Amino acid sequence: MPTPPLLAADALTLTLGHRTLCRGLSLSVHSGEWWVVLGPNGVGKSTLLATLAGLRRATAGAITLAGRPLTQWSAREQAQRRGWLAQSPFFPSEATVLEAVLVGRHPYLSRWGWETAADVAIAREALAAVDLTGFEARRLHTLSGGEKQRVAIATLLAQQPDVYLLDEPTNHLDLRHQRQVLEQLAARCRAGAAVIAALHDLNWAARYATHAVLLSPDGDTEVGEAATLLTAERLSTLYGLSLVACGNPPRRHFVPAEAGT
Amino acid sequence: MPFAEHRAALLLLLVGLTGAGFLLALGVGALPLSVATVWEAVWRPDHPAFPVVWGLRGARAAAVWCAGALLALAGLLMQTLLRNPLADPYVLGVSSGAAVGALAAIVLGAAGLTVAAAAFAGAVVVMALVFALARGAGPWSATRLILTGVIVAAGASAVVALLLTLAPEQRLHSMLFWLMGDASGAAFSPWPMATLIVASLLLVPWGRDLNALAYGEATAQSVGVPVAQLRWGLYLLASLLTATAVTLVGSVGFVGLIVPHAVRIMIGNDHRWLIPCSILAGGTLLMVADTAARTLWAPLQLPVGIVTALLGVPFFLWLLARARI
Repeated sequence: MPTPPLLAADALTLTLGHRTLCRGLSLSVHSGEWWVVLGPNGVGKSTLLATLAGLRRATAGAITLAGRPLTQWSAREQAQRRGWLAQSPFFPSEATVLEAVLVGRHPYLSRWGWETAADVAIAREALAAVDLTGFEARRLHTLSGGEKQRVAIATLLAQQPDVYLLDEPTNHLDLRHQRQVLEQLAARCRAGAAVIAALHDLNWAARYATHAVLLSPDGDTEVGEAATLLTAERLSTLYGLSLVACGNPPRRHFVPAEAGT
Repeated sequence: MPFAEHRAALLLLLVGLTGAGFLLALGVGALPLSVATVWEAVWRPDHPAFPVVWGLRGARAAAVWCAGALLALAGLLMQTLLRNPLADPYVLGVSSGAAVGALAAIVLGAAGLTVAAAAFAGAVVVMALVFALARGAGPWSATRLILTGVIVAAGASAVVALLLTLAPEQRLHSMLFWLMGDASGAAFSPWPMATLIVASLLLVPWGRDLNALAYGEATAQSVGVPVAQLRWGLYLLASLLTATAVTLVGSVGFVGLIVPHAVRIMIGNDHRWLIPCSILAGGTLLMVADTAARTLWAPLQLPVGIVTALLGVPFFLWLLARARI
């Protein structure tokens, strides 16, 4: 029997108010795959990610986590298998960085349990992975926007799920830290996890994604391998902006065909 | 772990301060007693000072401590629930709602537990209003929250004024305490203490869930917190704690605002430490404030609500002035 996909959606329809964001979307995410969700602003990337994470209900369709319907997992079991990064995470001001990252260990601890030395070690490793070693005792309100974003990513890394759902993980990050975070996620993919991330940077998408979901404003979707979908022609249509592709994979990048005035 | 030593040290310090505050409350007053006398009288029912120490001051100090602890815990839970450090039973109008409930019951001739139940109903109604109105799209905005609280409190004080106008004159004085908070009539009853203990015990296994909830409901849910259940539980618990405090000492303000915030500044945001520290600090703060209120201008006894407001208003403005809210 083949291993079931880590996360799968079958005939997913999402609506927001009277608007249909996507219709009959199906995808299967397997171990080692990196999926990128692309589309213009307001097209429903965040809604799709939150739905796949089980944080909101789909209008129609089914989602399975490791072969079992999402609804059959308890909240805690779900949290051990999939993690989610909010687009704009909220940070309580007086909490310390270590307290924030330890939230990621919540799904592994019993109701009466306290974090062990092992949990703290995992949290410290996660902080090191986002270049925040030594920040453990800092209060969240003293951090910059990019540092806070890295704390949120470290929390997700400490959660160690099988499926990483990330809503614009490179928000607020400088170029070096964008690459560092994406490399960390790639390493998790190589170790058997899967990543589904909404990104606005087509060049990072072209560098890392193995698969892609393209969401159009009219509710049409395209799902498939990145090599097929990430073409100048398709992306130009998707964003309503003429793009040209330069270079070859893995250094393929997309730039606007015409310079602005 | 950072702050690990701070946390234990603060908890121990607060236990010590609670004891010291209690001795102070027992010793100070129209008949000043030395610490040694208080210490002797506490243990000996035949001691001449025993009635003063236990009967008068002890009962009042215990009731006031309990009210302060209840308010601090209610404030802490509201702040975590609404993810807003300005949330507090008094600021949000929940205390006023409880006072309206209790007063309406008194005017209708009720007494005892019926009054407490009416106070709880009033608190729940205001919490429901705050929930429904303060939540625009997205997270709880400080502006909406404060505006909701101000408007609800204004409406509640109008109702209180109406009830006072309608009330028979001989009851008027005893009803005034609901307006500003006054402990002069506070008598010890086991129920508030039982409510405090049960609420604290109920919260013990939820400490980490509360920590996660501080990062937003979606994030909390994504790490496995049963958010819907927890939200309802906190909502009811915060209302119950507020109503219990209000039936003890009336609408005393700002304890729930000052205490959790000060504790957070000292030890971070881990609720497993925040809860016991806030309970001890809230109780002690209100007990000391009440001791000051009844002795500083003796024989005049100030309502304790005036003292907490004098402390709380500048604190609130300071919080508001800081850029991060």
